[in-house]
Amino acid sequence: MVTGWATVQIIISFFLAAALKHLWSLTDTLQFIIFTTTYWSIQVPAVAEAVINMLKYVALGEFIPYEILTDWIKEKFGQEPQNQEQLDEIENAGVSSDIFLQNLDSLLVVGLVMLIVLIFLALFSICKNSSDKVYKQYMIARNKVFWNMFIRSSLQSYLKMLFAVVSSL
Amino acid sequence: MLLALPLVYAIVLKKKRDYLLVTSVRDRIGSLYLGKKETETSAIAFVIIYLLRRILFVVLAIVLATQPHILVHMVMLSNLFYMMYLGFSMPFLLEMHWRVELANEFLLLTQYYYFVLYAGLVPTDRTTRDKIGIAHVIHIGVLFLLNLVVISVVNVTSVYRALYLKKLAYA
Repeated sequence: MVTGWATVQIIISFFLAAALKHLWSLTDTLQFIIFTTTYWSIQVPAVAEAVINMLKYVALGEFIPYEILTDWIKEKFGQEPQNQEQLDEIENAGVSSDIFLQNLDSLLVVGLVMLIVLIFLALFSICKNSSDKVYKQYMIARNKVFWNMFIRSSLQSYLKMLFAVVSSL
Repeated sequence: MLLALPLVYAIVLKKKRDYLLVTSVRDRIGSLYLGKKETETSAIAFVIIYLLRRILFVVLAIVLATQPHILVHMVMLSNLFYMMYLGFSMPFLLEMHWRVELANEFLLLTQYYYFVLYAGLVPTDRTTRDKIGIAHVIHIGVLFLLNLVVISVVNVTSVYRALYLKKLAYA
């Protein structure tokens, strides 16, 4: 119920933008807790582990349905673990796979959305000179995409990306 | 490439240092410094410290993978330095944001004491571990609820303000 409430607040915050900085602050803090329990060799009690797994929905944006993409990547580029030892190694590393892209999870969807925005912007640029009004709207959209969209996503996903790279090495 | 990101952002901020208040610069790279005190170098450096802290966290997790009790103390130390930075530079424009960030860091720092116990530095039996787990859940709950209350209050205030302004405009 609490994570449901949190998810609603997150979605509202994206639309209202007033509480976004507090939202980023919360996700940053939660990310440290999540990555500590995932990547450190410590034995977390089951009750705490269950709660931390729930927090992943909020802090790592796992409410975004990303399985379609990760499954597709696994199908295309993945190799089934040869033996139990390899499988254990991947599980102990706290990642879903040894493929970098697959470890990005929900970040893949974010990347895909950014790609769509870029394509849309490229199409918009074709007709930007049709009128002053269109040109003005194009410039506003371009300024919003370059570079703020990339900067914000790189900051929020930095820890996840670092661990995804390290895990795939 | 990921490791070079703090350097890239540092170069960009240094280059645009005198133009950070200009609207066109703000529209383009505002995410690097918006909400911080734009006139103070220590406040602008927030984003660099933010990234370096994450790099340190990952490097420590790799280097000290087999010694979790040392790892947890090193991370606690880095957390303390970050809190010192927050305390000295007070980088945020809004005092409330600064207070929430400090509260978050304090609650995160105190969380690491549970990780000291989980790392096996203090031997505990199963029943005690379960009790520690419940205390840890309550601790996480406090952190989570504090932030959600702040987010909810800010959202409600923002909607209320928008409605009030609309009402004034109609009047």
